[in-house]
Amino acid sequence: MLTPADWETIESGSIQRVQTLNLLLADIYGDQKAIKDGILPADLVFKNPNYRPEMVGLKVPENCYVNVCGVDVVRGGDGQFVVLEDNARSPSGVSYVVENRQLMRRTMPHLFEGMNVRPVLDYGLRLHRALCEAAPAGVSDPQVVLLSPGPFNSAYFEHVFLAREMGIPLVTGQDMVVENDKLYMRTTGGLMPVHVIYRRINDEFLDPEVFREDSMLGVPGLMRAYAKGNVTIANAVGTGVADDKGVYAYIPRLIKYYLDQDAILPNVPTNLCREKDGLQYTLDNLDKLVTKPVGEAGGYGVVIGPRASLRELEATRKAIEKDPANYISQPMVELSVSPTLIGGRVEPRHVDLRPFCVTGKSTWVLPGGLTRVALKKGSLVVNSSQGGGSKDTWVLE
Amino acid sequence: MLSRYAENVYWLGRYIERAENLARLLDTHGSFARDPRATGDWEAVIRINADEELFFSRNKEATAAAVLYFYLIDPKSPTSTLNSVGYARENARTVRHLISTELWAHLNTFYGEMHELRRRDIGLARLAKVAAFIKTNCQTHTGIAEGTLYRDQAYRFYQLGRHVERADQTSRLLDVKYRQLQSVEEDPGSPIDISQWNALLRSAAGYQAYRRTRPGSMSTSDVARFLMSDSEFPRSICFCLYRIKYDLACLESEHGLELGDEVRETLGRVMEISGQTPTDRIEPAWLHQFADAIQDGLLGLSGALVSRFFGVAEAAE
Repeated sequence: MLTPADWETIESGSIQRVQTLNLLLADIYGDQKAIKDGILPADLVFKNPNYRPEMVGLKVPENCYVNVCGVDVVRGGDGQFVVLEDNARSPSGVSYVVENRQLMRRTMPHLFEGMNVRPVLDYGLRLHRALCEAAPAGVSDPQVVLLSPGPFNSAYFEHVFLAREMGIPLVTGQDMVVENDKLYMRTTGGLMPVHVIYRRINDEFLDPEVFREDSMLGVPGLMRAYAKGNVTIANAVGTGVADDKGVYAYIPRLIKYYLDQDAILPNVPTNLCREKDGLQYTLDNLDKLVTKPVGEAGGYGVVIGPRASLRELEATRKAIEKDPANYISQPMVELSVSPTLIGGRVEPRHVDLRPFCVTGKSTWVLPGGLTRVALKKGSLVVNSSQGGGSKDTWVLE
Repeated sequence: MLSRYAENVYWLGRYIERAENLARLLDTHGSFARDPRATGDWEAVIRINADEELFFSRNKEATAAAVLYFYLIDPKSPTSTLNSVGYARENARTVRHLISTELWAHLNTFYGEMHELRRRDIGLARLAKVAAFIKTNCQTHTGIAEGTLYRDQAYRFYQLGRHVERADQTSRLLDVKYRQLQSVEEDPGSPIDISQWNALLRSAAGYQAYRRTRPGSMSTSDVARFLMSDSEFPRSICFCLYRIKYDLACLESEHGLELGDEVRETLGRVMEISGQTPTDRIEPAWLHQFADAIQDGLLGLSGALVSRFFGVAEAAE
């Protein structure tokens, strides 16, 4: 449960970050001013596996690259909210937010009496509106589709859910075709134009002509249609360069650089093993720090120093020494706890919060977001791929 | 509507219809086989489905137990009822947003129950029970579909699949059973003859209607004509073809889809074949050719539907 004042901090802080990420991406794929001005190291961008040279000079509507962003926020021991990471590729989990709320309303309606909880059920409408706003110029009634890898993807449930909530077709790559640099979907009535793709597949699968040749999930020629401005892809191609754990460390400085503001939501202080001092400090304090590989998602490869065995620490040391640029370290953040039902008893469990920011012409933040909970006693790993759960999250009026 | 979805609902309709007809066929065959004067020709069931190669690659002999296992619960047999229901469920899963929750929930349960069946549940002694179980579930599915499906394009394609499959299955049933019936017609009115054409009509749920509309007639030719060309009987080939024509017309008039020449021509051809039923005695050889021609015609129609609605459509503009 979040008070209006706490929410105001998270909301405005998230909007500030999304603005910065969008400015950063427009800069990276445009004039590259932040790099020329020495704010952001060039190799962090150009050697990043998620940097897409295909995007250089390609204009996206509203200059919006990150239409849907999940900002992972935690509350430390001092009560302050800090950002753990940004998710600017295709953050998932919003279906749980809506389903958790509906479940709570059905099973415990009395809890809501007189509480003035801000609604989350209009997420689909808001997302659809934002995606329409991001349609190519001159399209008045855009056809939006959700591009999914298909029923065998672990998030397929969410894809079905979102397509239903937005009232749009749920498509796979094979349902679409590019002709004369325009995108169409195959319908019983023939080919119908498609203007906006809300995609839930990674960049490298989007177009076998440009990225992975063996991709069966994408549409050959999609990048040609994209480059011509005939279709909007949301999130844009190449956003992964901005939500990288290495670039993350520079976000507060980039907020200052682009917006001339201080970060409303600060970062967890981050040591970059790519830098000499950061590497030395990390190796000297492995048992006190949390170390993370830069290129991984879903909590994989995270080592929590104070809880790791000597053997694990030694393995981590070797891994870092082998490829220092791939690692960062952070002090251990004592995640706040939330009362959680464990086997019939209420016990404290660590949580984090992922608010969802939806951007078309402007940014809207879903009031609440996905609260993830580490169900194992004492665990700080909340990722659902690692056995985490989720909770309904209330923002009060 | 997305082509892929149309194809999914089309196959949902086909697979459920296939499961129901297979249950009918096995049931009636089982009751034929139990008559000590008849031969328990289980190989006929394999022939009807053109499964000889697959079946005999795994079995030496077409015993009742082997055939029933193969057609009811064999997970490795693509034509088993278990797999038909499984494929229906997979197709339904992809179009869950187009069908009602009730339709999905029932199909899911049905598949679960099919999965529970073991060899001991499907022996000849329990065949009537298990066939009734399958038929009842297919009919429950049909009832839920009738009562809950939104009448959009998806519904029309679902009905198309259902009637294409039903026409095909009736032609197969007729072909194989008619040969068996004909072999004993030399002695018309013998107890075995009557019981067998009774069983054939019953397997198609047409016994009452046949007796009512053709009192006094007992000839196998009349039974065949009834299953081929009665315009009111919902499992006759003729009836199914008119339903297909109707659903295609709805897609054209209500949903603005153009049928195209290939669909029109293939439908026309199969309707023409179905209209050529002789008025006198029907020979088994003729009927076999007729059934083959109907099956070929339906294959052509199905192919035309694929290229017109489910496959690669031509460019817009």
